[in-house]
Amino acid sequence: MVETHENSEVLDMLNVSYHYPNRKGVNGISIKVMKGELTLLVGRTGSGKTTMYKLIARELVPDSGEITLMNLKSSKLKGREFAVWRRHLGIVFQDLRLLTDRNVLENVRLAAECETRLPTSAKARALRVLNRVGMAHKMKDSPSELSTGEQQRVAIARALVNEPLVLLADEPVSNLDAETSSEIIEILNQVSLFGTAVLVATHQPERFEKYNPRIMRMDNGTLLAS
Amino acid sequence: MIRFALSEGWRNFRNISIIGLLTIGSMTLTLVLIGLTVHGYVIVESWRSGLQGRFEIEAFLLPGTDSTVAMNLSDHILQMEHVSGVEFISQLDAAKRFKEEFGEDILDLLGQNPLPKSLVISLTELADPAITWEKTALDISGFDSVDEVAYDGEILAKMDKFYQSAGLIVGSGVLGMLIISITFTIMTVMGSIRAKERFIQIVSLSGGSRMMARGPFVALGGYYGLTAGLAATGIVYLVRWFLIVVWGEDVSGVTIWIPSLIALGVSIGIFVAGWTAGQRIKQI
Repeated sequence: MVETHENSEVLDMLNVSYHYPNRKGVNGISIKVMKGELTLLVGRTGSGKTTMYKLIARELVPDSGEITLMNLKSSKLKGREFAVWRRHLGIVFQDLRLLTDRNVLENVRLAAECETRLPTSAKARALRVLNRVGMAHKMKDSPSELSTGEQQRVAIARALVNEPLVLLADEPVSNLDAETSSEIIEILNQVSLFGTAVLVATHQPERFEKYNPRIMRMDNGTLLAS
Repeated sequence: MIRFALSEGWRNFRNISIIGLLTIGSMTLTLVLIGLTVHGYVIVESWRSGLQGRFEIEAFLLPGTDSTVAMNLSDHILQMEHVSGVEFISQLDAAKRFKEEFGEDILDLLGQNPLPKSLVISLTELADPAITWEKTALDISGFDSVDEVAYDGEILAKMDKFYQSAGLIVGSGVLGMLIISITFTIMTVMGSIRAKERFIQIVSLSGGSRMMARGPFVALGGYYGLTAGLAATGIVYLVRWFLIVVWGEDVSGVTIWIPSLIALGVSIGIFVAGWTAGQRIKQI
């Protein structure tokens, strides 16, 4: 894991634009995300939140602008730096993308196997992070046997297993009841308190009010306020 | 990295599909054909050298050629390329051979012995028999004391043609099966990649290298090759046992080829799967 200073900047997007061939993407986005910060990206469906996440994860390449993650610049990545870039990120997908051909522990362990530079074994890290999200007792279960809230916890565990600098969570509470949603938000808050910058895309910012997050609003591919 | 590729590849291998079974089947058939071709080659070569040992060139000498000239000519022919032995047949020897062959004494039949002296020439094992025999016979017929040269050129030419045709048919069969098994391997690996797109995504977005994403599919190809190699080895061993015990053929010289079928199967599987994964995963 890369050492960072308290309140230091971990992610910087400067005037980033991306346009799909047939629809609008994002236009001139500029934000800075600090270590340990809980940030909400609020907007309606199609406002550009997911596109922004894909740009940060390098699933999409910006048409213009620059994204800086720690000391890496997205426009200057080459060779193994792409993998290093992604190891700094933990991603919780809106559709979770858990693999149903393996159990909970194996799902988390798969992501852990991708980071070979950490001193502890992949299995030990997977167990530790499952314990942290309260899912260690169901590590042998298949994801299909879990409730939506439990699946969300496993997805968070998988995103955290490589100790990322930034956790991206796309609509993590959208399909959850109020109680489960509070539990997930509590976990995300804990993650931020441990120093990971947490960037949450949501259209339900009111559920996060208790933790006083930073809120950025997006509409029509543009950032309205931050 | 290797452990990861092997364990994930094994996970894919366990969920074998119909096309996966076809891949193993075609690979097995290819390897069996290769194994049997090697055995067949050894057997045919042994037949061929046995048959060739029975062929000889006979150079009939001009009437009146004395024995000294014949012996000198014999020494001269012995120096020629591909010649392994020369035997001088006197008129008396020729009469004996006539009696052995036809059961009649030529002196009783004709009252005299008109059979010419001759030299019987045998050749070494040759790479291209028919052509070499023809050339050697032609060279010998050019010597002054030689009246006529006889040998079974037609049979040798037919034998050569048969070997060439057999080689072409077997070679085409092996090549055809190889193409089919490679096609099936490509299809299986592509199908597996399509089915595991989410796995590749997770590995990729978790910071895994491209090799980590491709490795399991390369290992999958290796497992297919290993299974086919083991099956082919079993079949070839069985055929080999049949050849030795039932037919009494000596194929002991090709023992070293049989385990290498496993190595060949694994190599084909890994190479083809690696290439396919390289092409497909680049696009994801």
